[in-house]
Amino acid sequence: MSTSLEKPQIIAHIQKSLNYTVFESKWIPCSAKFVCMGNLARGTGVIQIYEIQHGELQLVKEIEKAKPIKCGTFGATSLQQRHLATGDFDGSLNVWNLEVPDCPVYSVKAHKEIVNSIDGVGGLGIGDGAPEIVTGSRDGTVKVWDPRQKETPVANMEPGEGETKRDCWTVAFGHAFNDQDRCVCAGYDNGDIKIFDLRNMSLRWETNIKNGVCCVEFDRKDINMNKLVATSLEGRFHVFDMRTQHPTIGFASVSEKAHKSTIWQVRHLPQNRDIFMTTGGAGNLHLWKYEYPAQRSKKDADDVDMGVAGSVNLLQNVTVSTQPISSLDWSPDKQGLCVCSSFDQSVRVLIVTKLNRV
Amino acid sequence: MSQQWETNIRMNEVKVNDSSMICDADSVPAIRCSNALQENTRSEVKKHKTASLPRAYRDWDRFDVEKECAKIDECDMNPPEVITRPAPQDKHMRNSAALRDQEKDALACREKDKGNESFRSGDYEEAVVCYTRSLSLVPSAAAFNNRAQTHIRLQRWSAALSDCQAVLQLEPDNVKALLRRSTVHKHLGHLKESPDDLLKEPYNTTAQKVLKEETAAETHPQKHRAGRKLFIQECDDCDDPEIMTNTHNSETPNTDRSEESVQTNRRVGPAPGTTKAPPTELTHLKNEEHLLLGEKEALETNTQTVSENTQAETRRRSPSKPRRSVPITEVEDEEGDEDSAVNRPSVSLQPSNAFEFGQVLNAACAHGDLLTCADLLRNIPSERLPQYISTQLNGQTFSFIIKTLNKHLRSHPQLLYEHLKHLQTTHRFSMVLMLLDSEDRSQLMDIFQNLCDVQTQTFSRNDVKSLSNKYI
Repeated sequence: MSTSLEKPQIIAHIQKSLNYTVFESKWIPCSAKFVCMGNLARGTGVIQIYEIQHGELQLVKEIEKAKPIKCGTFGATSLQQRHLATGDFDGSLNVWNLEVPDCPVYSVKAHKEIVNSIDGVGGLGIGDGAPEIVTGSRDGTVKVWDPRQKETPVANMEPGEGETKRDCWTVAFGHAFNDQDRCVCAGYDNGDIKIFDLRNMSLRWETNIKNGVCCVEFDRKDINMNKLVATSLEGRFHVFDMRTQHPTIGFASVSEKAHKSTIWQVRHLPQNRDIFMTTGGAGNLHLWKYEYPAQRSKKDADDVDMGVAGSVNLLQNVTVSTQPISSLDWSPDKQGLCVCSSFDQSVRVLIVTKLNRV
Repeated sequence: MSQQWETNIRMNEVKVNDSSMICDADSVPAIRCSNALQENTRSEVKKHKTASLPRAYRDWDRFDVEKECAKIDECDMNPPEVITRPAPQDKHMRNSAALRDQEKDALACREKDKGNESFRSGDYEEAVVCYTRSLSLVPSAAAFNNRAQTHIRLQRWSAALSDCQAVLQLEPDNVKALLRRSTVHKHLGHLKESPDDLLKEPYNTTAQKVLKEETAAETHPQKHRAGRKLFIQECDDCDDPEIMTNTHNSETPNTDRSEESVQTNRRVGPAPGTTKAPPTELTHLKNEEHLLLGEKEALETNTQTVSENTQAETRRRSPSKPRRSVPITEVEDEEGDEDSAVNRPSVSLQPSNAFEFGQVLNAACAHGDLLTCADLLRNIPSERLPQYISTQLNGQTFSFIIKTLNKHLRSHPQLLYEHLKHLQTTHRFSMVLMLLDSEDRSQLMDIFQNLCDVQTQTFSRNDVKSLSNKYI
């Protein structure tokens, strides 16, 4: 029943052009700063820290590294330390203290090929349990690291002997509601989505969504698995209801077509787990809200519980660029503030309004 | 984005940076290593298997049955310890010793938000767990309040009650807590405590609805007492609405009523534009509800004032503004089921044309509302009666009018006579008269009998007799 004036509006607050290809941008928790990571023209990696001051972006620090950096996360550090974990084109995982960036706090040659995606859990006061970092790479493996353990991963999920290696394009942590439980969700280029349970060290569920999986994310890392959004090529994304797992059917899901191009990223709003934003290959952003069904689970013919998926509503969409938006990050400190970077070598700070009235 | 936020966040950042690094390496769980645990279990199992029964045939001579039986009994009493990984429990309480106040607040807020999200998606048990965690860190009124609401959804009334009490200890004026506590009281059957809570919030619509239900519940067991109930009902389909109270003052201003009245039309109290102090009117209303006493004359005068005020307001208001009306209907227990729970139309009881008359009469007829009909007949001049009825006279209407006349207008014989005199000149009268049934005829005879007994100056017995001939 909301009129067009009541819908959330996506406003481009600040835009800045950079002189390098930026792959990832992330907010530094508890501050008005964010980090941009990418690939300079001369083939080296760069990390830049910007701060928002009086409606403008000020460059605070620039750090150059030997190899281009593909992805980064703050998820596995404490609020006081705020170390950045990065994966680079060479397959290395490094954890940097941004105050002293010369030498990494932790470094390991994680994979043989480029680290496509990285995620962290257990830090920033979110969730219980040990801080852990997961990396997914083009060499088909997904490895979980603990910064206290050098050289060897805590867990390694790799294809068996003789099986073809599929590029892992995205990884995400979830189900970390107590000390022991963790789940890692990995999406591959052939459309596979696999969920590994780290407590039992086993594969919990897998499915195939027919198109390469660009991004997966749980709605909240530190609760019992509730929802999982997986985006893919050819403009489709799926929302899985993770509360009820049926032995044969698996999880219930609802699927939407949007963007008319690859959906590169999905990010849930930290302050409301039912609102998420997807970014598209045509430089557009869609803001969605998930509505739960009346009954989240029902009995099937054999009296076994199966989940019921709800529905997804488009709240707002906007086009900010002509090139794909490769990364998006919501600010954990201010609801509606987000930073996105795209392949037109620019980074934008956006504000989404009226989210508290959705 | 405000400057305010920028400065705040920068101050927060400085605080976080300057905070001394609490060495919490002990509180962080160990590095995940499940393989070591599995090896332990295997070695234990191996040790068990070394004890075996004697194999060689000659060993059986040495076999002592009693001893072996005793051993088996011992084994049963001490079963081998099964090494399982302890199933991790959801932590209901968080270890807050190592945290500082700022972090505690942030964590408590986070848990509360998680609880809110679980509540919205219908996972009430999970929501309770999250709120409990939040409260174990920092007790807050909001978390108690939310947990109370979750308990109400789960129908755990005593838990909800204790949570509401906790909120009210922190914030005695918390509206939500009062409402929720009264809901709990209602479900627990404490019908006395809950109205007290609701009376503290006269302007809250939910409170009013619940209060109405409860007073209705209270009055039902006392229905045998002769009394007067005041039902405030709303009429949505009227095209000339206004807000009504039973002590409405007709000189109140009406200029800025329009917008507010749309929103406040559901309130019992008067619109904000009135000059009278709201609580007095409200308590007056409540007193009437609670006292349940009344007299018929007071009832009649009230009805009259209601109708007068309605008319006054109708005339003065501009008809273009969309508003709702709240007419007050009065229910008399001793009248029986004909007049109970009546929804009176709020179009004025002085119709100015046949259409309006027809509307009122039809509505009254449909509900069996003789009172309204009586009012209607009293208010219109007798000469106009045929004009107002026009071509709408049928058996049912006629029978209804007759009943009304018989029952209510006995005290006004003059009016009765005049009405009857003009009624028989109505269109289709002769046809309808032919189709009267015996009950109606007896009613008519009653009427004329009465008239005969009455002695007035305007008409004589002969007049009555001649009139009666026309009817019977």
